[in-house]
Amino acid sequence: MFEISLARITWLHRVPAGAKLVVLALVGAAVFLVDDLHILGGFVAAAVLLPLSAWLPLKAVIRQVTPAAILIAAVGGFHLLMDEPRLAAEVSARLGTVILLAVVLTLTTRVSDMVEAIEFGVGPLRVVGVNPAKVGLTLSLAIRFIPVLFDLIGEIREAQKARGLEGNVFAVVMPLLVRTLRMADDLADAISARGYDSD
Amino acid sequence: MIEFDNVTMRYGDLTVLDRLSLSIAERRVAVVGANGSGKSTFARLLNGLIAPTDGTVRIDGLSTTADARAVRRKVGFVFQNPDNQIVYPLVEEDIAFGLKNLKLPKAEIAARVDAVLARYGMEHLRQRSAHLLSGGQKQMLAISSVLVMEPAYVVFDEPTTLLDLRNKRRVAKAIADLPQVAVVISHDLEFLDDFERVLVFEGGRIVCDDVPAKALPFYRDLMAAEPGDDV
Repeated sequence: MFEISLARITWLHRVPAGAKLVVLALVGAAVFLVDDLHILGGFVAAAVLLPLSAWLPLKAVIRQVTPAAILIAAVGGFHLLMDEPRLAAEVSARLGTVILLAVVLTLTTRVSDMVEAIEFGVGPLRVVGVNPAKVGLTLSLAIRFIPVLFDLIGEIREAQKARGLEGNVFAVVMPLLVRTLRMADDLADAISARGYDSD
Repeated sequence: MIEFDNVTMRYGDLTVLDRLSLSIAERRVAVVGANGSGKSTFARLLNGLIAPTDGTVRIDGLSTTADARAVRRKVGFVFQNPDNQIVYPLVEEDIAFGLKNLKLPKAEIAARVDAVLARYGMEHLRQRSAHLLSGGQKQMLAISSVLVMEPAYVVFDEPTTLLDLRNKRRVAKAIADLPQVAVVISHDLEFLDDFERVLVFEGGRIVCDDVPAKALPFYRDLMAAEPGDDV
């Protein structure tokens, strides 16, 4: 399951998407500028308290955080073995803070609001040729199609397993590529048919 | 009024539609034909998704090539696989997508989304992730997302192919109840009995253009015959 935004309204849902994105960007930058473990610990504590303060369902938060937690453990473990415990703690705290905040953002913000905020944010970049509408559409499509692609991979893996090809990576990658390209073609047609105009 | 004037469509050496001329003024028109007979190309020409190699396609006098943007406002298009046409993750966001492209005020977008959700009994799904919907619900979402734009014509490209019988009936009823002109490409012949006109495609040409009572038996015979047999 890949939940995008929880239907129940909390105080975090009422914070404008743009403000949440700015906070995420600022905190993301700050944690990489700070190397004091006490301050980093404060960031982690704040990131943990945030979903708790809004009574977000822990199950949904944990489900989204778990894959990232494995990555944090791997990166932290690597630094623990290769460097020193302090560096491992710093890296884990930085990644943990940013990932938790990103999870809170996705759980409490509608994609359309996030897209509107990003389109507004990148608006000034029009002067260097960036098209905000295209950026927004790309973002929404990426979020929409992550679960679709997971379903597609599962479907292809099952089909190949039935043919005795479960260990063959190419047997999954090739049909995935073909179906993804076909899907992209259909999607481009569907977007045009619904009056999309990036200009 | 839909008008095809001597329309040919070629992909390289392959002629998919061959000098097609017809006018459509009926409200319910079905298009049937074997795979590769040219019916999907015919459908895509209606919305200006593709331009003819030769000839012109006009919708209410507008050329699908020269006035493509205006034509797309007039002609909605529902594709076979809803998964390939849902753009936004949430149901209500996806329905609103086309309306935002029309640059409508937010209040009107909200009102139209509410109305279409109520019309198809989908209010309870408005905050649902699109990928968590059943096949039938996804197809109804795809149809709602097109109808909310209030097109004058709606083209359906095999809208029931991926559905179970209950959902096929649901989609067929939704199409039957439409106030718009509907051009439906379908292999589900049992839903076409009440249509006003059926076009049978074969090898890039219309080989039968008649009421369902005559065109559907013709098509069944055509499909029962071995290639090369006279029907």
